[in-house]
Parts: sequence; C-alpha cells; structure tokens
Amino acid sequence: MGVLNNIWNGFLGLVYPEVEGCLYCEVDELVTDEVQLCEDCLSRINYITDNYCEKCGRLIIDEEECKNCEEYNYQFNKARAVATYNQALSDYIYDMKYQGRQALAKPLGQILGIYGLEFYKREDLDVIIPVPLAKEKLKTRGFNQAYLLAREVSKKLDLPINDQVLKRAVNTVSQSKLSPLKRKENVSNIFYCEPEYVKEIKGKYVLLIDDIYTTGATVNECSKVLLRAGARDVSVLTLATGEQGQ
Amino acid sequence: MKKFSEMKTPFLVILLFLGLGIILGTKINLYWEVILISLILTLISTIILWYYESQLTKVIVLILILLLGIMQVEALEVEYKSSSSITNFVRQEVTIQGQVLSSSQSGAKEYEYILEPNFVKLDNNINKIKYGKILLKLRSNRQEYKYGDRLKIKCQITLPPTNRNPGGFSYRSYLKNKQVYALITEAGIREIKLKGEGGNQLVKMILRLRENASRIINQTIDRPYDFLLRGFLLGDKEQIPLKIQENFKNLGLNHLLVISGFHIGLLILILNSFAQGLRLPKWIANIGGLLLISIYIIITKGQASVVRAGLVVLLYILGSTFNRKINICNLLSLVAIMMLMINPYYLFQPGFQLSFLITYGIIYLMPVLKRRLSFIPNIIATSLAVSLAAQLVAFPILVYYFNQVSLIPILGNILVMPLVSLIIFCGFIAVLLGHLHLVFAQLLNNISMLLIIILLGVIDSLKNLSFLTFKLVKPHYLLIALYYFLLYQFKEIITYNIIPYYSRCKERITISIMVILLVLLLLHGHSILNEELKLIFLDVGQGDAAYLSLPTGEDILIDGGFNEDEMANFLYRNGIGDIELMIISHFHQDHVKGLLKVLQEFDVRVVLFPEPKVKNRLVRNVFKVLKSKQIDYYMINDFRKLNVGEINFNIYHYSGAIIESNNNSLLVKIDYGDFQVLFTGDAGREVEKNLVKRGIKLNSEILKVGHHGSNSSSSQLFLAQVKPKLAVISVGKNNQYNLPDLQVKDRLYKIGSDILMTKNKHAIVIKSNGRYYWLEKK
Repeated sequence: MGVLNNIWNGFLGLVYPEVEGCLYCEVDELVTDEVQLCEDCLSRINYITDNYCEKCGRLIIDEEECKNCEEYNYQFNKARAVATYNQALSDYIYDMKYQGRQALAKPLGQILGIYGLEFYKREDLDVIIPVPLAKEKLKTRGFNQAYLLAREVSKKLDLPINDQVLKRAVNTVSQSKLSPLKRKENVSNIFYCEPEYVKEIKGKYVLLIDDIYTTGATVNECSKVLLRAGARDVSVLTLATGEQGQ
Repeated sequence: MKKFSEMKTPFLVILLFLGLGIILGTKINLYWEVILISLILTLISTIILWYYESQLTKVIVLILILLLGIMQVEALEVEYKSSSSITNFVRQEVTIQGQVLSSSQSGAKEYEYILEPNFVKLDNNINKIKYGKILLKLRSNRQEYKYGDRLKIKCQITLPPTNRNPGGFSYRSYLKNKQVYALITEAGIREIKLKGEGGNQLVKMILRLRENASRIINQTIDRPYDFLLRGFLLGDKEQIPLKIQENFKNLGLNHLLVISGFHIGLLILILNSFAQGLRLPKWIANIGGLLLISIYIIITKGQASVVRAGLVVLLYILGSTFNRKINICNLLSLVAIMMLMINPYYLFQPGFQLSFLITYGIIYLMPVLKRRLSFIPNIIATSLAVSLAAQLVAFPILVYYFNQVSLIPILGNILVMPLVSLIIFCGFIAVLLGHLHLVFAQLLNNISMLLIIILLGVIDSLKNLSFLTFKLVKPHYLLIALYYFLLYQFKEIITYNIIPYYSRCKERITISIMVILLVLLLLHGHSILNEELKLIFLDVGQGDAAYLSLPTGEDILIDGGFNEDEMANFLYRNGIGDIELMIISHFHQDHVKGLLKVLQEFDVRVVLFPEPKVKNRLVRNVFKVLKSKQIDYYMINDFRKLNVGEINFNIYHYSGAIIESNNNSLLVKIDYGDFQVLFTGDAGREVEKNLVKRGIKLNSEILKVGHHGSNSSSSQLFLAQVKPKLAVISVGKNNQYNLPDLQVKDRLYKIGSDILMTKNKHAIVIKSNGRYYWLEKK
C-alpha cells in the first residue's frame, strides 16, 4: 500500500505541484523565479534609486549635502544601500537574524546583488568581505547574516568571499542599543586582521557587505583596519540605511 | 537542474518534448523496429538511472518522451498502410458494413457521416477493417441516418483529394489527421441499406438531449437567429448563413463561433449559483459539474475545443477537492498531452494550436499588459489586456494558416464579448427551462434574439474598419520563432519591476538585435548558397500558370491560369510576397485572369506582354491595375533578351501578320547552363515555323507544350528542333476540348520525350542546378 500511496502522491505532485511561495509571508506566489519574495513583500521595501549621497549612500532630503559625511571622515571609497530602514525591511532583517529564518538571507542577498551589479563593476573589485561577528555571538546565533548576504552577492558578481581575514575581537554591546555618539566608541579598535591571511588582501579592491548601515561607524572601522592591512581600496554595500539626519 | 517535482509546470516541459517528437516523427522516416529498440533501451536506462538516483534521470526521461512522440506518429503511419486499413480497398467495387459514428449537415444539400467500417467484402472475401474511418457524403434527398445506425453500402471507396499545388489545402491530410482515411461520395454509391441499430445507449440518450435543445431553439427563435444561437450553444457552425460566417471570419472574430473554455466556465457558473441557491454541499456541486461537463462534451459531439476546455475544468475541480494549489498552465499542458496521446496529429490543427497558445499567452502576458494599462478603468483594462495578449500570441499562427490578420478583434472583442456571454448565458438557461415548458424558453429567447440582432449590428458596423485587416504571405519558420522570442523579450522589458535595476533592459535589447541579425543572416545566407533553379507548373485546371524561383532569389511568373484566386493563393501559401518579373504570354482568360489578383495584392516589379490586339474588359482591367499601382511594363513586339545572374531569358514574338489571336503569344526560352526550358504560350504552327525559319536555337530539355496540347501547335518540324526530354502539358481534367490531342502525344513520344500532365500529376515541380534537372515531390 505504501508504494501505491507514494505513486499517488508523486502523481498529485506532478499535476498539482506544491511550489514554494514567498519566503516571508509564505502565502503569495512569486513574481520572478529569481527572488523568492512575493510582489507585496517586495514592494513594501523602500528602495533608494535617487537623492542619495554619492559618498555614503544615504538618502538626502531637502539638503544640499550630506551632514554625516561632513562630520565623519569616512575611510571607505563609497557606500551604497538598497533601501531605507523602514518597518518592512526591519521586519525582514529581524526575522532573518533573530527568528531563525536565515533562509530570508537568500532573497535579500539577491536583491543586494542586483544593487551590487548596478553600482559596482566586477572588474573593479577583487574580493568580497562580510562584516564579521564575534566568536561567541556566532556560536549563539549560529550564522553570520552578513556572510549569508555576501554569499548571494558573490554569486551575482562572480567574486570570491573571504571571511577569514577580518575578525571582530570582543563581543560588544549590540550597536542598535546605543546612541550615535556611543556607537563610534563602541566599535573602535575591536576589528583586526588575521596576520596569516593578510597577504590575501594586499593591494586588493574590497567590497564590504553588511546588513544595516546607520552611522557608518562599523563599516568605517572595518575599512580602516583593512586599509591598514594593505587593502588598496574599500567599497561598501549594505541592505538598509537611514535617511540623512536620522 | 530542477527535478520534475520541484517545477511549477512539469507537464509543460513534457509537452514540449512530446510535441518535438511528433514533429520529428512526421519529418523523418525511421524503421518502426529502430524506434522500438531505442525506446526499450531508453526505458531500461531510465530505470537504471532512476535506481541510482542519477542527475541524468530527467534528461533520459525527456528523451524517452521524445521517442514516444516519434513512435506515435510512426505507429499511425504503419496503421495507415497496414493490410487491415481501409486504404487497401480504394478504387474497387466493395461492400462495406459499418456503423455511423456521427452525422452533420454540411450546407443545405449535403449530409456528412463519419462511418466506422467493420467489414469490407471484396470479390467474395470478407476482410475485417481495424484502421481508418470513412467520410460518407450524401445528398439530402436520401434517407437521413443517425448515430449508431448500421449500414451496408455497395460502393467504390476513394482516397480524398490531395493538394493540387505546393502549400495548398490537402483534404486527404486534413481528414487523415482526424483518422478518416477514405471517402465515399454520391458518385461512388450503388446501394445503401440500413441493417440495424447499435451504438451506446447513454450516448444516444445524450444526443437526444441535443435534439431537444435544437428543437426548443427552433421553436422559440426566428430564422436565421436560431442558427446562430445553435452555433453559440451547440457548436453547429455549418448552418449559420455563409455571409454571417464570412463576416466573423474576416473580422478575426471566428473564435466566437467555437465552443471553448468560456462556455464551460459559464455552465459551471450557472450550476454553482443554482447549487448555492439550493444550499447544496460543495461536493454535490462538484459532482454535478463533472457530470455536466461530460454531458456537454457528448452533446457538442466531442469537438476538440470542448474536450480540451472540459478536461481543464475537470482537473481544476479535482484539484480543489484535493485541496491542492492549481497552476492552470500545468493543467493545460497535461490536457494537451492527453489529447496528443489519443491523436498526435492534433498538434498540426490550427484550432488546437490557437486554443492552447492563446490560453498560455493570456496567462503569461495579461498581468503585465494590464499593469501598463492601469491608467484606464480596471474592467476595460482587464478585457483590453486579455484581448491584446490573445491577439499578440495568435498573430503568427493566423498569418501562417490563414494569411490574414486583423487588428479589429483587439477592440472588437471588448464590444462583442459581453454580448456573446449574455447570449450564451440566456441561451443555456432557456434550453434548461424549455424542458419544463416552452414559455420560459420563449421568454428568455426573446431577449437572446434581441441580443443577437444587436450583435449582428455591431459586427456589421465593425466591417467599416476592414482597413485594419491585412493579408500577409506565409512566414518562414525562423521568422515565427523570432517573433515568439521577441515577444518574450518584450514582456520582460515592459514588466514593471518592483526591484530597481532588476530588468536588464539594455542587455535584452542588445540580445534581441543580435538574434534579429542572426535570423536575417540565416535566411539570406541560405539564398547565397543556393544554386538551384526551381520551376513549378501549377495545376490551375484548364489553363497555363508557371512559377520560377531563380538561384539568386528572384520570383518570376509566366501566366496565371483562369481561376481568380489560385495563383494568388499559391503565392500566399508559399510565402512569396514580391514578384520581380511577370510574363503574360497573351491576353486569353485561361492565362491572365489569375494574374489580376497578383497584380493587385502583391509587389510586382516588371510585367512583359505582347501588344494586345483586342481591347476587351480583361485587357482594360490589367492596364487599370498597372497604372494605379504604377508598375513598369513593356510590350514586346520582336525579340528581347534579359539576363538575371547566370540565367538568360530569350523572349520571342511572331514577326508575321497575326490573324489568329493565339499567335500573338510570347515565347520564352530560359537558359541556365546546360538546362533550358521553353514556354510557347498558345502559339500555333505558323509561329513555330517562323521561329525555325529564323534559325533560333530552340533545343530545350523541357517544353511547356503549346496550347495545352492542342493539335494546332507542336508541329513535327518544331518538335524536331526543340527535342525536349520532358514535355509538360498544362491541361484540366475532363476539359471540354478533349485536350491533349492524341496526335500531339504521339508526336512527342516519337521524338523520345516523356510527357507529364497537370491534370494527372497536379503541380509539376522541377529543379535544376544548371547541369541537370530532377523532378521534386511536392
């Protein structure tokens, strides 16, 4: 009977295939085969397409220049982000990071890759580096969301990933719980380059990947360390960013 | 690669491979045993690969399906020729015992029956027939037969006629595709006897329902509107007045007269609202739906379109009972596969192709188009998007099969569809209630009649837009493929992208342009490598018509026959749009009349003809078209030489006084290396003598025999000079002049020439590479 049942189920599956739907809402059908999110979930993201700062990629509203960039002296070449950090995108990222739905990293990473293709040329880059997590945190969470995102970007841009060279020393307080000023302090001097892998980034053009860009403190610290270790140039690509002045 | 179980539409892939197999099956001729062995080998390897869970399993399964497609076609071919096929008994006096499978009235004076033969008696031997049905055509003054009747017929069976000219309609293949292999016409019948009654009782009961429905419609609606309503509800297209049918066809609204998923959908809708009104549980409604569909399929005599739509809805209902997600594309493909398993030749029926392609097209294109049309009210945007999607997808098929497309349906559908749905809706309910009492039917059918009158009014006013209908020649396969590729790219380009920078518009446009260039290169590269001269003597009945295609690609016509459409249709069906040179041998109807339409509807560069001696209406018409379309023409009174590439045209005209109008014919000699053809029009002996006297080199491999083989031409003196290897006589079957003349045939045989006649061979196709020539199959 088991065999018959199997055949019957297989047949049903062919006639009425159970195709996976949207990875977030799990209900609606997909619009494209490439990105596994439905039309609704995709359109709730507030994409940045113009009015962004040429340097840090944040949305600029009613201003001539980007204030953050004036205050900071960013070490990276330029940063770009997919969207502003609105409710929808924060839900997706939250679910991905804290609700154990790391499968969401795939569609989000794919969108990140689409942006990567638009703003960076493959020929101008050598290696992709995700912003690392501290060892303890990696253990408790089980994965580094920046690495998962970077993996999709690396597929799209056809570049190698290096997650060995850049390391985070101590387990800091989560950035999101701090005020802007404290954030800079919080991350200063906590990143370092693993000496045995340093030669792999010597003279290289690096694309740094992270999920959220708020003040730019994290990626700026990473850039500093990478440049000090001999990287030629660092660019940044993140999923979410704030609006200028937020 | 995705597994079957992970795909959204696994059956679409299977359908593609099955279809490919069927196409291959008709193109190649493999031995039946070869296919069977490779099929078994593939099957074994499939099982082995499957057992080891190899990645290759899917590939080998698809190959298996491809082979199945090939085998299906080959199996039918074997059946067609087998000893128990009805085709073995054609052109002989036989007695047939068979059963009527279906009957229909075709036109006012003829009935058509599909007969399933059981036994054929030939010379006292009784043979059992397993393969092939027979089409029986009877005059309406005979007794009428119905489904299930067992008949005994003494008659002569014939094979249906084939196409007369390349690309023309072949009744034989048309019927063969419906598994009808033979024909019995009134002329072949000695005696018909009704021997008894058989058939399925259930089918008979349902067919009685059909008769009832017909009767109710007849009694409650006036002529000719009852025919239309019967067409809409029962698919009885035949009796709708021809003029109305023509209107639907010319406006590209023919699909309204075909029963489709639309009807089935309406039926189910009516049923479900009844069920809801009576608060019946869902499963009863579902079972009712399945029953209703099955009955409707039989009532409409199993038309392919109804079967298709019915099966899809059936699968839909089953899916929702099992609580499964439903993908219409996948279900549609499964239904197509099922139908192709029953009869692989469905694949080549335009109706089959159109119905499936249009449904796929609407599913695929409609959402995108609708979004782009979102500036207009939703209902209109939806119907416009559906209509546009359907038209975009159907376009190449319509041009390929009917050489005509119309832009009218894009808007026309929106005007007409609501009317038609209301008519069908009222009609269905009227017929249902009519079974209770005719008054209900009368009431509703008054509304239907009014709606039909309005519908016909709308159709009549749409006729004013006939400038939106275009005639096009049959496109090359590559162009059709290109069209669908570009349609795909177009859809991707106009798709509204939620994710910015996602559509790679520029890349798509670049790819499209590259593919266009590639296709153009392939189409033209073919003509660069070509060194064949193609010559076709068309079968235009009693008359002359020839077509030449030069190795350099020019298309040339020499005369066009008597029938007004035949030459033009030949050009349409073979994708010939431009005529570089047209030669009119002389102004007799059986040579010129068919060229008028060509002059009107095609691009003709240059026309050559002798100076007409009489100015009759035909001559005036020709000149009128030449002037209005500003076509270059030259009248030839003596001798003219033309060179096109390696090919020489020598055109002669009689230099003496012309008394007999046939002698005003141009003679055309074509030289291509060692190969020559001579066309002499209708020129008589006097002209022939004159040519010989002038010392012109007449020696030709092929001679188009003068004046359809009449004794007034082809003198011994002339033939001795021409010495043709092959003489072609362009002559009609049973012509009133009894041509060709036996003496002419004698003279030709005496100089050792072969003779081919268009009345027996239909079109004669000859090819030459400038060194030798060969006859080609059509």
